[in-house]
Amino acid sequence: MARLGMVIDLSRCVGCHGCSVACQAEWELLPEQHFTKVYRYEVGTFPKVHGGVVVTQCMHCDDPPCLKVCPTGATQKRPDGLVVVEESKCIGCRYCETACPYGARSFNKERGIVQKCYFCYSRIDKGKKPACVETCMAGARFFGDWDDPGSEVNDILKTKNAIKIAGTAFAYVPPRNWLMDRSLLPPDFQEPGAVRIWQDLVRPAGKAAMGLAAAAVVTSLLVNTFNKGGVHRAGKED
Amino acid sequence: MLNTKISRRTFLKASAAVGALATLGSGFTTLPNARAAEAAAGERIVPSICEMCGVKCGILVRVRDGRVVKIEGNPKDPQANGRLCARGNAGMKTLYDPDRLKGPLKRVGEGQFQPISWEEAFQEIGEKLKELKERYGPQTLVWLAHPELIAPWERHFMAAFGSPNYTGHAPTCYSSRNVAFEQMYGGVPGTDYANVRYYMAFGRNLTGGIKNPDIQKIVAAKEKGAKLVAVDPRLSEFAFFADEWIPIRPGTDLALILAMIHVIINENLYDAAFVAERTVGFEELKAGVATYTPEWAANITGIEASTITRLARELAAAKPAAAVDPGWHAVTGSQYFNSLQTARAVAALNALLGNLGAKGGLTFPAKVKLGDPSPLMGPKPQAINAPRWDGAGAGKWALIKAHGMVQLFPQRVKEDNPYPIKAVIINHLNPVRSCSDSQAFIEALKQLELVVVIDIQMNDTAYYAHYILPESTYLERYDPVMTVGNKVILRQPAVPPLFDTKGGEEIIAGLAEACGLGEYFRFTLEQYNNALLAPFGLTQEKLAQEGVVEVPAEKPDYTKLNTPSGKIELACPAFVKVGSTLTPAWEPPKVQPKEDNFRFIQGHVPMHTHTTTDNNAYLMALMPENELWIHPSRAAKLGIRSGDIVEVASEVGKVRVKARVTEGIHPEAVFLAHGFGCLVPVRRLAYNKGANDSMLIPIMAAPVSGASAQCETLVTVRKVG
Ligand code: SF4
Ligand code: SF4
Ligand code: SF4
Repeated sequence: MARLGMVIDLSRCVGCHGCSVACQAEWELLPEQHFTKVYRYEVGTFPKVHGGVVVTQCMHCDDPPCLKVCPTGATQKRPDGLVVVEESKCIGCRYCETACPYGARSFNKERGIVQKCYFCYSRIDKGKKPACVETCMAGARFFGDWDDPGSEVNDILKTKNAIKIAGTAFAYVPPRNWLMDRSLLPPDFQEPGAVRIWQDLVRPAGKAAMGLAAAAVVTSLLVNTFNKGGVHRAGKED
Repeated sequence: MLNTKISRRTFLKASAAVGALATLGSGFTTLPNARAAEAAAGERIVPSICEMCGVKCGILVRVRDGRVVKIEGNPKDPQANGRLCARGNAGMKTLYDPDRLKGPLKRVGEGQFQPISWEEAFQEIGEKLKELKERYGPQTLVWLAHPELIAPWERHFMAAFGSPNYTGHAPTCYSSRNVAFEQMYGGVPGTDYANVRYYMAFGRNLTGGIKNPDIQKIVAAKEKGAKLVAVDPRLSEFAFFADEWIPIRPGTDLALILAMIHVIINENLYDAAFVAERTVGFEELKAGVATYTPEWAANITGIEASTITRLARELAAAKPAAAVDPGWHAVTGSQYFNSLQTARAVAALNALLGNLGAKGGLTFPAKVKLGDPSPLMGPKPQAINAPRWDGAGAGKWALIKAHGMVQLFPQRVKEDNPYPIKAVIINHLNPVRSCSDSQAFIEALKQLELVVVIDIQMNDTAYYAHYILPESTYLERYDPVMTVGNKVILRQPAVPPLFDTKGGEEIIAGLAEACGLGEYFRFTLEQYNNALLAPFGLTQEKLAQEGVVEVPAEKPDYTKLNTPSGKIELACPAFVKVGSTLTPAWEPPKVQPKEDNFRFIQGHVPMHTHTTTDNNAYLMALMPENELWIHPSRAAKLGIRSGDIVEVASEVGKVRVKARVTEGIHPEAVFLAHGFGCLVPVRRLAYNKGANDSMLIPIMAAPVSGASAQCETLVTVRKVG
């Protein structure tokens, strides 16, 4: 059986948000709904500062908690691994939003339902690539079958030392220009609670709203992480 | 503060009068499940050209039930290769923007407009233009534009009218780069990003000021192992993408480049054969850079001498697949008084690498010879003798005839010398926010007898126009065909105009007819395109089917450059004639910040284009406002924390904006992204979001290039909330 998933090459990604918008257009989302998110981070002290972007979306977890809490069975896992929402069954109770450890679910206030990245099943069922993969100028996104040893995703996992996010359908190739700390990537899957903090680690690029709180968390967390390694120090932001 | 008298009601009335289609843009309700089933049935795909920025990538527009549902990259297009940036993907939100211009408007008071028919608008404008021409001569009319595909029509109008004053946006963007390369190389080369092995960008934010094709290529080069170096006072999008960030003191890039030239010559690392065969003036260049040691540059730039030497050696080792980006807007383009010298130094450094025409070096594009449309275009316009309004093309401005100095417009309107300027037509440009000193520009517009704005939206300039002529968006109109490499490409409508708008060509022809110049425009855009396409046995109709067709193109001849010597002019007498140096030489930036102020720097972001996308719902959701980047050490002294509201003040203006305290900026500078701070209330998403950088920039013209030198602005910053 297939197990569809994605590798994102952060050495290629330029943080352009093309994926976010192609996805919005594909699914006719409200402007504030982003299935695919682009976060920007900065680490270090001037003039030795590193930065980059991390892009995320629904991780299509192996054992999705969003599905478990859904009272109507609207959220389903397909045999090929895709976690989808049968939107007509969603009653908008929003339990799944709380259950999702990756903050991947998105409430559509006009339609009163919860949505998320569906890996563009309507496209892939027709043999096309997901909208985010197809539009990516940097070619930073790869989509394929983890169960097929010859697939592109497995190939990249091996040849580019990608980091597999355990319990999910995702892997990331870290940027090549610095030894990015693992904590900047989505954590391995765990039941809700423990992994929540990750959402505060990185702030959405360009968005002012998250600025203060998120930046403070980045600072404290990164200071801890990097002090252990003794290599980089996080910038102070106060 | 700008005057922003509430005008929403009047504007809404105007919208209602021309059609009840205003709600089209809101409320997508199609269910995803239903959509999947529908997708195959009844969808039309129209190949066209994106206009969410000036790059013009090829697109496939998916239209269902007369509605644009998605825009994708055209796989046949040489620039898009089937991929698009965020802005290209968001195009339908510009088409269905509920705040768009929906019909011609006439100003009836401060911020107040009423609908007017096209016939009346043309007639009234035509009468006024004829009257002003009669009173002051044809040169009293200035045409300002961000030159796009329709530019030949705009120029033809001005030639027919008899005015020399067609003026683009070059000094706010690229004029110093162009002047340098035009004189030294005979033209402005591009970079073979795809094959570069070592790439240096001085301020060129390749992954921030996005050009889709360049991104695709530089990522491919990175994948193949190219080293990428970003020299920038700020951790820009390219600085974090690159392998190495050189956090230089702003305005001093020139010193670093001169020192690299010094090292490469001194250590004999240059391509001697290339220099001997394809350049002139090497000995003069060598003598010119003799004192520019890495130690000297280290003092000026804040970058260690050993780093400078290492960069020079690494760059030279990778030659000829090593390139220093000629750049755009930014360090080599327009931002500093020394930008022209910087661009000249970049040109010289590239020449030493022998990279012109080499794989991974600098390249000139292949040229397609389009057909000649002039037989269609009426009588030959008479030669014009009046000098240009901005003095470009004469005296100390001899080298910038093609570029002009749009930013001087407000001063020139006041001066009336050597002749008065009384009328302006502005197409696809928002100089109130894209030139310097917004307030001065507004005052100038208020002083004129006739201001006509052609645009798709009520931008900050249109807000002060006497007449606003709404152009159809790129998804609703044709344009003159364009070429990229050996391809001809067509923009064509995906849907008919939603509102009472017209294509640029119709507007220009309508204006011409109304001021008695109809004989110059007795042809249609289709006839014009057919004339351009005739040599290839193509027509607009045929090209419309695929959108992109390959045609024969002429490869550039690198052995015969368009310079007096036919070679690269390392020593360039043309610059001496206008009062500059023979070879690139150090010039300090115009201003130097002290303890209590900052150098103000500005630039672009990946999700917006200039001031044109700030009412696009998808793009504004990604980045609704800009923030002032400030270094923690400076912020701490001023008691500023991230998220605080600060007042930024220069000698010409003040803005309020949120602070972003970040280690990613040189302590001497503060940075603000360009493209925010719209003060037109009817653009509801954009209105009053973030700050307008142009409010702060004094009107200047850099020597020789006439560039607007945006980053020669000093500001103070204080916390206000
Ligand atoms: S489209 Fe590609 S390059 Fe752009 S942010 Fe998304 S993954 Fe990164
Ligand atoms: S990431 Fe969240 S929404 Fe996606 S499958 Fe896992 S729990 Fe469900
Ligand atoms: S770079 Fe982006 S906005 Fe510009 S033309 Fe290409 S797709 Fe459109």
